[in-house]
Amino acid sequence: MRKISLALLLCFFFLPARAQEVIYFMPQWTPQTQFAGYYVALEKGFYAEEGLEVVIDHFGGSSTESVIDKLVHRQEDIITTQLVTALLAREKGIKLVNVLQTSQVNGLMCVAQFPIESPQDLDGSKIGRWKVGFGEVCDMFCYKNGLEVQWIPYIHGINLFVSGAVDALLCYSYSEYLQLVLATGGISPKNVIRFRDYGFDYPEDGLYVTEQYYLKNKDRVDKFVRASRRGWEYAAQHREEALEISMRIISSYNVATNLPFQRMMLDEMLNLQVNPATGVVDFAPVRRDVFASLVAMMREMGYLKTDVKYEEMIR
Amino acid sequence: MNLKKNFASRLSLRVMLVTAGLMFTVTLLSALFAAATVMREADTVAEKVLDNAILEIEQVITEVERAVDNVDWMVEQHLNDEEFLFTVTRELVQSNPNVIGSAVAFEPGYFKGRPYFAPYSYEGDESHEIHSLQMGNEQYDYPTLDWYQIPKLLGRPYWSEPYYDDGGAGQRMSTYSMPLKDGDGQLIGILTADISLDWLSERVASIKPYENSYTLLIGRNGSYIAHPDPNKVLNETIFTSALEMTDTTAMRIGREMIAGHRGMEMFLNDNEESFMVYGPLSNGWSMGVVCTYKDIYHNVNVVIVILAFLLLIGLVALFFGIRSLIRKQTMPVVEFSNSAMTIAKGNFNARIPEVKSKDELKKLRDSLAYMQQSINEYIVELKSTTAANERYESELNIARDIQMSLLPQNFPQRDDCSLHAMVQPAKEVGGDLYDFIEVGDSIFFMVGDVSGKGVPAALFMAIARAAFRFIGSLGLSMAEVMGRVNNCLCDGNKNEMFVTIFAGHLDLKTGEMRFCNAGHNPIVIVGPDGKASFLRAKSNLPVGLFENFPYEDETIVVERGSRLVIYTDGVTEAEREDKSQFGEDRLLEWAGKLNPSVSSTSAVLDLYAHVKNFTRGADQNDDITIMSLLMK
Repeated sequence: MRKISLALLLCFFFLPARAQEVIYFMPQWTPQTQFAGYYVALEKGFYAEEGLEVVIDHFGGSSTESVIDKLVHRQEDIITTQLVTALLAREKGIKLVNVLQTSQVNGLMCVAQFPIESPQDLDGSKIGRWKVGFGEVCDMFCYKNGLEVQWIPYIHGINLFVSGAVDALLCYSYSEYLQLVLATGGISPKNVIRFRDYGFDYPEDGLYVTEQYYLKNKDRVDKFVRASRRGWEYAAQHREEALEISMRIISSYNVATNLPFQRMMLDEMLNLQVNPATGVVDFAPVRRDVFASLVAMMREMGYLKTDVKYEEMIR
Repeated sequence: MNLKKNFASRLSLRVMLVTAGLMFTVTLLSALFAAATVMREADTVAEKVLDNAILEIEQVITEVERAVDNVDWMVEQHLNDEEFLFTVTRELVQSNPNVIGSAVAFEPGYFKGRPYFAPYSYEGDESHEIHSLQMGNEQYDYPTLDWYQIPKLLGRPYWSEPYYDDGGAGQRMSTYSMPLKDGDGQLIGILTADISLDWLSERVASIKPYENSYTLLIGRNGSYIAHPDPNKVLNETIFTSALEMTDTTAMRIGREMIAGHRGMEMFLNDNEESFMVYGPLSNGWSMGVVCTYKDIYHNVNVVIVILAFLLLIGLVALFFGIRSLIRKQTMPVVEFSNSAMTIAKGNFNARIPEVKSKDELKKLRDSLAYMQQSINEYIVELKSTTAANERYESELNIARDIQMSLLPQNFPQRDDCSLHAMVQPAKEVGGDLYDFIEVGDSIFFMVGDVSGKGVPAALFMAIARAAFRFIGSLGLSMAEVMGRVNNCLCDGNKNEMFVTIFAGHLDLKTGEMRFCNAGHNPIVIVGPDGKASFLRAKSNLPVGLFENFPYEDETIVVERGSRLVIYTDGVTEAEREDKSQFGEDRLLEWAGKLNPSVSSTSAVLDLYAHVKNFTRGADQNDDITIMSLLMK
């Protein structure tokens, strides 16, 4: 009887701290290894170890409501989105705060039906582009190079390109580009340009919360960021396990995909996380000069009416 | 079984080995030919299966395209009749079993105040009831969907890539889209017909020309429309599978297929040697039939194994059969061999087995019998001949003894001279002769050589010797002696035999020597100083040729201590195997080196030894006679 009492006492003592309020977290797209680090953090219990109870709530790719809308409407607490998208939201009065910059390198590309020797080759082209956004960096590229293009909005653009209905397609190096490779058996490098090679190397994915939420839950956000970093670091070191965890989650959402594609996507995501300045994955905050350059460009193009201070947004 | 000793086994083995080689080659060629035939047929079979399957799907595609074409004009004439538009889509589904849904989707804003307008009818999955609805809203923004946007951009009909429709039908489908245009040729919308891919997958999955083969169908984007693994359909492309393969041929096949090419390629499919025939469909899809060589060669392998087994059994049977046959056929040979061995051991009357056949064995048997008879006859003849030879030989030996006894063997034992001579006939008897007669302090001597050899020469020699001994004792001059002997021998000399003679009469006190040389070799004179030279004499004919020939004699004075060496041509013409002769030079050289004081016996034997040494054992070709006369 005494032994049992002692065991119960020990159990009680070592029980993890009771989770407080649930954190709802929404990645900006349908389930895929673009978000593998968060799946790993959840599955390996990194969030739980921080005393957090996290629910990953996937975005359905809706054309009417963005992931930022979900955040604003307090359906989600933390989201992932791109830096440019977050700045555009700020223009609408939605004060987003970047709490972790996972992407260090821009992954936007343009794949054409023909070799691209200079930006002018794209002038007058019909270019497929996500209906829900994301193509702003290409707008900057066109603006700077004086290109007039016809945008063709798409939800899934691969067939648009494969059928020959468009001249070119905007792609992410970790997503549509890989799908194109798997649909065609290979894309000639001559038909591809990466916008980062033309001075538009603006980092993309990061973790965002509203300023209001951040001020109120700074400690919890910090814990979430810490656990998420651990998740990404673990994924980088255990790619196959991360892939397995991701595939389990992806399958639960009935997403049409396959293992080789998700593996290629994870590899590319991890590549994009390497800080070119240090050569390692250090989740460095957005550089001030890069931020200032982006804000200046967006102001020049009229995307931003007011200036945005680095400190206001990057924490 | 000792192959070395057993002819039947050895021959059987050889025949079997040759047969095995031939049969193996024939079997191998047959197998290769069968494999090539099966391979060719496999290609053909797979291609036929592919063509039939493509044809089947093409029929559905054509039917759907035709159905849409048929209502296209009606839609364009009733654009403002909303009810009609719904009816058209319902009719399209109802009257075409392959069509599970149809829509007339208009361009946003075509109807004022209606950003989306798309009457849509579809067949319920289980009930097969046809439902209709107005499709399109902010959530279902059809103008950005492939089935709408791509034909719009291309300006022509388009079969969409397979997709899972969650807009109504809730199945895997592909949509045929036809652009609708107004009178000005402006696009006003898209008319569609959906086909279910579920039946297509099932149909394609059932196409299996061989046990382990399968058929697949891919869209223009490489994604599987039909595949034996249902998890791959819509989830994977042919390139995701190809990426996992070590053989890069699969990547090439994928590219060829989406390029709309037709072909056949061999590749390693999950490490299984396989080939794929593939061909395009009119809507841009591509179908491939994958076959493994394991299946194709299976039947060939079975035939080869059976052939090899039969070959082995046949060879073993052949070996024993041939061996038995050869043994039976060669049995008489063994018996002949035994008979021959018995004959060889001296039993010339051994029985030779009878042979009933009239083939080579019969000839062998007859030959053996003939040989046996011949041997018997030869043995009899040989016995007779041997006896005759023995008799002849005996008589010859007697003749030789007689002939040798004719030649004086008691040489003079005097202080003033030393004389010795020898005759060595080439055959049992010879034609050479020598003689000497002591007459007071002088010595009469001669050496002769009868033409020819053997018995005739010996007989003529005996006559010549008798004549010479008689006439020589009459005290006549050497010329007269030679003349009388000549007349004596010429008389009745029908065989025209003759004899060369050197005869001399040496006065041992004065050294004066009268001599006559009747066609004989010049004699050698070795002076007291050891200097040797030939005695050149007047030439007279040999004795016995011409009666009354006037022989001439000569006189010289022989110094004391000089030696005369008289010989026949058996010395100078003694030959080696290589036909080189002893010759006069060697004779003179021998005489020059001879110790002047050596006895005549030693001198004769020494010269004979020199000649024999020169001929090195070659057969003696002529009688040899040597006489040495040393005047002391």
